[in-house]
Amino acid sequence: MSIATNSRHEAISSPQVPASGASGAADVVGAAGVVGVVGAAPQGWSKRTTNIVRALGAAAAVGIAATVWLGLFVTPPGATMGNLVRLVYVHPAVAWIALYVAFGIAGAASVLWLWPRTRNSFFDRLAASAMEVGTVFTGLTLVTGSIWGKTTWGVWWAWDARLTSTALLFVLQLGYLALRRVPADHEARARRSAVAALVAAVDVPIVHFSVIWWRTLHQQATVLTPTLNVTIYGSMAWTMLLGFVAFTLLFVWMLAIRMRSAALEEYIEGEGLDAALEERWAEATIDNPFDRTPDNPFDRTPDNPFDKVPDKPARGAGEVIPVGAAASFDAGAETRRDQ
Amino acid sequence: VSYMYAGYAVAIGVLGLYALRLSVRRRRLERLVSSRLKRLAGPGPEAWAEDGRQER
Repeated sequence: MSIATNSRHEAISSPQVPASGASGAADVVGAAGVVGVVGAAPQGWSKRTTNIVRALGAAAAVGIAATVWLGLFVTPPGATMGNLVRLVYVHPAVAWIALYVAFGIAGAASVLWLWPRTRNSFFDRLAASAMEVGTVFTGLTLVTGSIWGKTTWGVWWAWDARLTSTALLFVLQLGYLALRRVPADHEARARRSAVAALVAAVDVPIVHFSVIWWRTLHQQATVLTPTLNVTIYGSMAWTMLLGFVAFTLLFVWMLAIRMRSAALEEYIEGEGLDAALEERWAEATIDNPFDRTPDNPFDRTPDNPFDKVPDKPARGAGEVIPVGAAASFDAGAETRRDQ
Repeated sequence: VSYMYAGYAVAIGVLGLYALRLSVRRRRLERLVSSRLKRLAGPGPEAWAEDGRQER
């Protein structure tokens, strides 16, 4: 897969976003005299962090490739399940991330945000990012488990305690993500999200102990047994361990990327970039031809002086796309143009 | 056996696509912030208009 390639792209810092953080941003923005309005850009990744994230992505890609190779072609088939046992190298590793790693991080970060002494928007971003990435892993846990269930139990789904409590966890995670999209100021959103994460985390021990508390179709734990008596050996055990490590590395890589996006989103929302640009228009002695009025929703006349951009040329000859200054007022237009 | 391959394909495929999405989204946001900061640090709307006239 293109994970390593992506990580290479991820590592490239934009030359316009100050990589040194607050002071660099102040220099750039200070030239326009609006530093007080937009504040400092979110701190970019240092070269060291960039290299670490790159290495994480590469290690995750290599680890997962090795797990797939060992799991499919090297390890022996199971004594009772035959080749189907090979799903043991993927399904438990994905479930490990979904249940313990993602929820552990999200829960701890939520507590740290709620605790007044440690309250910091970093913990809110960490909890939200861990929960979002964790939701993908929970969904995969359900799907891979369902595929395994179809072959061993003969059905795609059973209202078994383990399956049902995991499905409930998935719904709770989706609820958390929906809650974050409800419009609110930053602090209110962070507070309600932290509480929701802790409420959802109550389901984690229920999922874990469900195979002990109730009679279930789902087998007992293979590694995390109450007595830590591992029931898998030899090359199968090592391959399973490698899968756990590889998927954990992938999760950490995804978390780093998601957190950077969250920081940038927060900057765009909170620091008033749009307001600052509007102020510059207001200071100008000329009219903004792209003002969204009923008479002029989007000026596309050929004589429009803004149909050429000083820094970004329009794509395609004769293409009448208003890529002038005012196009940058519209985040959607900017994003579409980048595609 | 096909179910086993399906399990692997779904897991690797979904995670790969999600990784790609995260990556593209982050790059897009970097560019968005970058272009706005550049615009703010630049000479201003009159100069943008003047640039347009000169280029024509």
